[in-house]
Amino acid sequence: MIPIIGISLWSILKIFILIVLALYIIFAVVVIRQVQLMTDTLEVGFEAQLRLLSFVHLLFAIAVLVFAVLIL
Amino acid sequence: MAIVLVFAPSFVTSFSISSSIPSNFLFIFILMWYLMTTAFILEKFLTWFFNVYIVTDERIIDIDFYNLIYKEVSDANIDKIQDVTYNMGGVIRTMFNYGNVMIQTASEVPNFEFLAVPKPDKVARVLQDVRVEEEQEKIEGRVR
Repeated sequence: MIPIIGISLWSILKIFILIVLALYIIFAVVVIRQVQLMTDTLEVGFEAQLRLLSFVHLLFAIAVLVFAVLIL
Repeated sequence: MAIVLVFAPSFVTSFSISSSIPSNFLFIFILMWYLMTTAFILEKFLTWFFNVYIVTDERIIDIDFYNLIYKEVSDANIDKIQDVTYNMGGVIRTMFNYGNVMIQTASEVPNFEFLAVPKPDKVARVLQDVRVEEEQEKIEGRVR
């Protein structure tokens, strides 16, 4: 890779990926909050599963961010 | 669409372009791809799932979940309904018996639109029944 003043393209890409993943975590938090609000408004039968799904989604997003920090 | 997104990485990694990317970056790219796919599926599902229309014998409620950060909830009393129109156009809508039900109310609230609901004729009929019932109640002076 071509070094640009000591910084390679990959390290720029790494920072970019970390920013994207951080933004994704915000998205996951918004999903959790929205699901919470909607399941409070609306009772359909499987709120618990839906909340669990959104929570697992957030955990997955955090795990990917941590993983990216570790291996990149 | 979602199925294509899920299987896309296995096609892309078989091309030679992937060999020029370090394996750790490639792995994270694939993980990110699946994150985006999950986001896409989740967003579509929630938008569909929380788009709800409720008809009771006293009022109608229209919850429009446009996307994750914008939703609109409106309700109107049955006696405020002025007219109900339903339409069903196209091959798929006719085959699977679904369409739009448009409800005009007397108030300044924008018209209620039940979009792509199954059995629109039945919805319109139920709305007509509850309106007749409401009028009957008014005539008889019953208060509920």
